Amino acid sequence: MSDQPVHDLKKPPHLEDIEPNKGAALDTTTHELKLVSHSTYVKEKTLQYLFLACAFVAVLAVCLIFVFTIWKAFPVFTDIGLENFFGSVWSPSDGQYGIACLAAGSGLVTVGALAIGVPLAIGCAVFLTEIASKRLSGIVSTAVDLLAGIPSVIYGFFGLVVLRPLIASASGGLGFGALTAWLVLAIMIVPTITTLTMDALRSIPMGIREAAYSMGATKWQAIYKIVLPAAKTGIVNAVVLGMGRAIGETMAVLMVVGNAPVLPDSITSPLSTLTSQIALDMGYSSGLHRSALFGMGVVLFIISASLVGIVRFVSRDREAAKARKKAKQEEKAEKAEKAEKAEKAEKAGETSSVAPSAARMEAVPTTPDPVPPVEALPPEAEGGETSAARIKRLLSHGGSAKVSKDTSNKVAVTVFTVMALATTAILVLIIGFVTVNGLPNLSLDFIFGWPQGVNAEGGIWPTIVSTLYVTALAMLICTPIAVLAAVYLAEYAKQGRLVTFIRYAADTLSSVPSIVMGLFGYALFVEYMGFGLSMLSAALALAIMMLPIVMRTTEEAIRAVPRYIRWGAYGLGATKWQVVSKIVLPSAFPRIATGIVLAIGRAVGETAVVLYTMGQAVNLPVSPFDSGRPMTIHLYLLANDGINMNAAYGTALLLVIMILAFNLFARYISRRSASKSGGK
Amino acid sequence: MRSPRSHGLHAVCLLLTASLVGVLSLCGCTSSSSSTEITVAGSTTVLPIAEIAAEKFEAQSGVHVLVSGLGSSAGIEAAMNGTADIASSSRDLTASERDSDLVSTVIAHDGIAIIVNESNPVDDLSMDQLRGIYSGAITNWSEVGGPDLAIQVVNRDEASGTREAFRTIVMGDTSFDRSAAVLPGTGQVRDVVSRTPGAIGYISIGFVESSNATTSVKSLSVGGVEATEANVENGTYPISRELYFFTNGEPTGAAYDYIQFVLSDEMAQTIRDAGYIPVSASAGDAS
Repeated sequence: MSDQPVHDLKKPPHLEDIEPNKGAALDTTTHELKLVSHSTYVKEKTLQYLFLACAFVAVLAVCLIFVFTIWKAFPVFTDIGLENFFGSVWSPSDGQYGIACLAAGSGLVTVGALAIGVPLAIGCAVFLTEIASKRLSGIVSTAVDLLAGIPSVIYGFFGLVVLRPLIASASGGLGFGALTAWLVLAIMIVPTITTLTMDALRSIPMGIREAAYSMGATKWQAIYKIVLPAAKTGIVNAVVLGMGRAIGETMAVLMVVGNAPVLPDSITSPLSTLTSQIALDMGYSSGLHRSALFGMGVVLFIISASLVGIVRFVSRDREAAKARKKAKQEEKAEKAEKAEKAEKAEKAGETSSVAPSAARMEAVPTTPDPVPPVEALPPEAEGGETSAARIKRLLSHGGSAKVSKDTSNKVAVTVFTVMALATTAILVLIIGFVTVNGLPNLSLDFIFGWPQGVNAEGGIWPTIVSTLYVTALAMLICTPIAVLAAVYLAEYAKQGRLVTFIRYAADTLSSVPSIVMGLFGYALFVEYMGFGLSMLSAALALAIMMLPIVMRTTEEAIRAVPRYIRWGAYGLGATKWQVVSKIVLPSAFPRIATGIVLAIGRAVGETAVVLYTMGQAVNLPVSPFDSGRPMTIHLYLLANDGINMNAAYGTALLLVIMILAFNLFARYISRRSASKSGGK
Repeated sequence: MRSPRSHGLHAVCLLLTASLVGVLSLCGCTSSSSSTEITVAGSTTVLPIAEIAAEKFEAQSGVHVLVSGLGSSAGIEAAMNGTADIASSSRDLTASERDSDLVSTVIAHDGIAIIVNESNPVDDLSMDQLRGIYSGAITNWSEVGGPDLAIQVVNRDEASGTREAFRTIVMGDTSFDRSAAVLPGTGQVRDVVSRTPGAIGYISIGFVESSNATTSVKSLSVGGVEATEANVENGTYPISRELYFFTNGEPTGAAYDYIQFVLSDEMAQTIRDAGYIPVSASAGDAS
């Protein structure tokens, strides 16, 4: 006892002796931390590593998904061999697990959906960015956002109940098949592609359009010859991501394809896809059959990861080209300057060989501000051509048109307008369909009652509670990790390989098809970790799915906080954590909240992830280890049974109302914060 | 026939939650009031009936009934080794299972009706013709005495007990045509057939006349026997089966009470709602 105080007294100076030395050793790296006390230093470092760990959760999740699905799929690869696994006969009851027809089905469904969805989406995006008045654009873009929020099980329900009978009577078949799936999927991928294409179009500077107009181009000519080519890479990325969405879509496809694991005779005969077959068989499969389903999960995972890889590769290529071009431009400007000087010097004499005339001719007219318009051009535009010259060349290319340019302009603008209005009309149609059929079934008894009898008459209260329970739990798990990870990426990390790597992991994670996430959740949380079919298992799987979404929105929100606020705080002597926690996060809060609310909407509508992680028993969950049945699955089961359709309509309406409420709330938050900051 | 696919997992989940609830003692409301508890395991087809009976029985007697759907075979095995008090099954015992002490009780009849569109003039199909249609050998209604119209075959998913029964009774060793549409629910099969002129499907007899549906379908006679409840009960309709409870020895105590409850008039309507035909009073216990 008597020794200890002495010991304690000795220790601090002893440590302090070491600390400065340490600091000196690390001099360059921890420069800014030299002024703070040891405990603050430790705290700051600990926090930094904690954030780094959070950022690595995304990487860890991707690895775990890959490892666990492969591990579960291993028996099918070894027992029946890769050759049989990629064979054409899928007949689990005879021990045949060939996925070729299913993969072909996935491909067919995706290609058709893209063929219908991409023109519609691009038309919609062009209308919104180039043609629409501000008010109309606001209405249509709200419709697009809301369409993106509608859960896939509702699209499937709509396809099953509305589109299928229409196609059945038109074709004389059953109405299940590729055509129905195309229409449903096309509607589903339009919002994704539209939003991303709009981003690409908006990044094209106004100047390039104005230049085109000033040279007499019509709106259509400017769009077709100038804006769309300039935004090409962005649009390609949008289409590839839309493709990922289409391949990975499960519930909507499952409800309309007819599930026959063969190559279809026609576009109106039944077929099956990788995702829908997994969802259909997972519940009762065992042994090799189950292993084959995980094998299909691996295939889907690899497809989606490579699509993300392609997008990143294309974007990086573009960025590299940009950088190259910038360097070239500077070089050229220098050259031109030199040439000018040379010209001045030898005013009377003959032009020397120093000045390449082409470079001079082009560099001179654009000298005032050449950088922004050219920078946005795709790599094809390089080669010493400036925007003005390019516009001139492209516009002159057409020669004399057979149809007057005003007529073609009118036609094109009308087509774009029709596309955008059609998208809005689809939203109105779906919401109208759900409302008209669902409203008569909504009552307090329906909302607060329990399902009764074998056909689930009565209410849906336990499913509402299960949905809210699992969503809240998922957000509790996801939000802290996602926000701290975003803090690390935006505030702490040095932009370099590590950050690129983490971003790539997050992008891959966000592209993992939801049914694969469900398979993974089942393998890891339900079976391996022994949580069983429970709220906890489902919430963990959902949290991983939400992670990249919340991470991205939070990072964007943090980056949007002006730098000078940070500098001010640092100037007052704040540590990094103080700046982050007291200054950056509070000012980024409204945008972060918007992202979280949107993610909640997504979680509420998720079906495939929770299908085989939460169980399907009607139960009022109390502990996180209880199982339950969320609304989406209740709707799916009711629609499939097709007996008690009234309850299905009622459930669909409540689901849509909840999700629209979350989406509109998110818009409200972002609007309010925007007007607030604008007012100041 | 509600979501049969779910029940394998459902069983696991029930067992897990039950054990966890015990450990965490978070919800001691129902099971603690009575020390008796019986376990019913087996057929996913019987699961909806067994579950609802369990709920009502528990409210009446306070005996907690744990119901799980593992499949008929697993249920029978569980009853033989004592893991479950009652095995529910959609098939009769096999020869080897008959050597045990299991006592069987028929709880309901299930007849599978062959349904077609109302506009279809065909009224009767033989078992061979049915097999031909479902294996893909017969593709046009003209081959079975109908109009020149392509047959649109509608099948059920592999998790379905109805499909399993149809396969054993009608198909035998012949395999299903894999290009047929596979639908995961009775109501969907009914709805699709009711709207498509050339379609054919099969559903439990109890669902042919549906109070929930707005459209109607026509059920065919098979081999000249009409698909009626009476013909199922007297055994003349060929595509039918019984649903059983098996107990290891004569049922006693709570298990006996539960079985009696399932057979009671109170449950008859539930069994009808599930699409099956309740055992009439005259049938009683049968071995």
